[in-house]
Amino acid sequence: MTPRSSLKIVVLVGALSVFLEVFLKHEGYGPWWHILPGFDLAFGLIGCVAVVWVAKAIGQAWLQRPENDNDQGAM
Amino acid sequence: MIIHPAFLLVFTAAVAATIRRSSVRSVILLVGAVTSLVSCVGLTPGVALSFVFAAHRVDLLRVDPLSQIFGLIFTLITAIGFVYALHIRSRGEQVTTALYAAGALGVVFAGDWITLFVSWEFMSLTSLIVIWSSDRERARAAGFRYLLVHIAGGSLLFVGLMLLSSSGAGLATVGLLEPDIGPAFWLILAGICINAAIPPVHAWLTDAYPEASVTGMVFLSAFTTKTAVYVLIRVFPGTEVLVWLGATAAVYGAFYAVLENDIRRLLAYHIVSQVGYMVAGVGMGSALALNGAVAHAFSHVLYKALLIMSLGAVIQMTGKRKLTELGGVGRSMPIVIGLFFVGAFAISGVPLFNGFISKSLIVTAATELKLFTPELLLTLATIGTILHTCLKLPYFTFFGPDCGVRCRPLPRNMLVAMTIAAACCIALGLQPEWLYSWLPLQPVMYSPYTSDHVLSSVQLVIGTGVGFCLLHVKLAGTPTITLDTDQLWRRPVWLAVNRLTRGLDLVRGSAQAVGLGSEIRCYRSLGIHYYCSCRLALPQPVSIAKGTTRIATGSQ
Repeated sequence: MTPRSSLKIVVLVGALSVFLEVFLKHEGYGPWWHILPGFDLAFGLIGCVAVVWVAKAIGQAWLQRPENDNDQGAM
Repeated sequence: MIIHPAFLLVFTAAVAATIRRSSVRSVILLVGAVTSLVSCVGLTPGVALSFVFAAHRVDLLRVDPLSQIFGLIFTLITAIGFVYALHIRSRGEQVTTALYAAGALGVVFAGDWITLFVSWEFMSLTSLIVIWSSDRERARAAGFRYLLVHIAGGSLLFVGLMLLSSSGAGLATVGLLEPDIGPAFWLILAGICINAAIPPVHAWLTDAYPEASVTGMVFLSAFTTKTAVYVLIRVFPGTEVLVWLGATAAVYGAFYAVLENDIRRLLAYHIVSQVGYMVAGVGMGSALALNGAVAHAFSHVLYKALLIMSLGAVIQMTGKRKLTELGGVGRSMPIVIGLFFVGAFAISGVPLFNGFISKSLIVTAATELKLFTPELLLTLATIGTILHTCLKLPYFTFFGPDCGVRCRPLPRNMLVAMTIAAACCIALGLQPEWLYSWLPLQPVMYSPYTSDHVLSSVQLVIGTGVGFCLLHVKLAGTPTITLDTDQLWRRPVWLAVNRLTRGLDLVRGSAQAVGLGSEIRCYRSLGIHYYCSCRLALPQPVSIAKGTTRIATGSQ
């Protein structure tokens, strides 16, 4: 399976899941976003981007050091 | 006849310690673990073993559904772990691992606080030896830091128990505590939270566990944090602060995993994240949430062990553990990839795997209790988990650009152990009732396979997958380390040690002036200083380095 065909399948499954959400009956509790079709798809994408960007930004600014930093003793 | 499952392990460890041949030792320990598992299954509720010591009733074996399900998973993973470790030859590691498992069983079956505390400390000591069994300098240094943190945690727990005893509540029963008992409540909670590795007191885990041996980390990931979760469920259910601590821990681990280059440290951050789910469930306190915490602890032990075993197999075959040194090794290990993905799907909460049937209990409980912010935080942590374990780790380890590493053959017992763990993950995912029927708060009126849950999970995976496709270049490993909260205490502790040894140096100087044999004191002083500096991985002061040179050259 090529990456292109894999991507097609993933997009198809995602679209199908949103389509199903529109018509399926939801559980009768929870906030508004639980009944918003495709919310989890969008949250997955936005959350992923947020996790990567925020972690990388904080890491590069304050947290990441060269690999032998502790061994050399530079704090 | 009722036998304490921990006694069986201690007995087999004692027998194994006398055996010279490593293969026989391994088999004996495996038989002991399986016997212990059978013993756990056969236990019936009630106090089975107790005696009076110094006017205090000691309940060594109290069985109820909560202790039994933790006993089951601990003995099951001990058996699987011993299959995985069948090939190892280190007598010390083999025996200590069995004792470590016995300590964990001692905690979950303890009926009174004294038994729990003794087992707790025994577990800490034996886990330290498991870490040191790795026989590498980095493991010794990390173990020393692990020891310091656990001494602090044990001390908080001890003082809390003393206060609890003096408040009149007594130590006879390990049970629910209320905040109105005063400082004892908070001290005991703090002591337990250290073992649960809740940020900001979690760094001991991500520091020490990855330095253990390939086999040792399988056991380490199963016991210490999960016994802490067990005690939280028993003693602190419904403590609101735990909801926020747990949800924060879940996200914290997921964020830190982005920065990690070391595959074992990455998994260690996911232990912090997944334990966060359980702690949040304990804080919610409803029957659904508490059952969720128990179920997730059970599932977590299995899938985390599977992930650690899979990546342990990669390390065993390649000798590498950094993303920057790995890549393209998947062609040499197709079975390992398959088994790894079972663990990755399970930890990510993909339907048909055991993580899905346990994680969704906690998230649904949060929704039912209208705790929407923690629910969103837990979902964000799930996104981070999918990103790292389903996408980042396999892509850069198995499928990325070929690093040209030649793979050694994998011992067959390691594959067998991984297959058993994977089978458990899939079986529980397909038949949730098998796990739900063991949960402590019956009946469990919950079905994970609703259209809402399944579609939500599928969409999260797809959304995260698209995000990974867009950002995978940023996720490639970099040759860096990541500072964590332990940096806050390493320097003060080092300074304290420095002051102490300078004081000793002054004493040495005075002794030298009066002609006493000061060389020994000098060596001792420098020895303490050097040892602690190395263990804390901090710089040695120039004066001490010079002092060492003086002694070495005999110019004192």
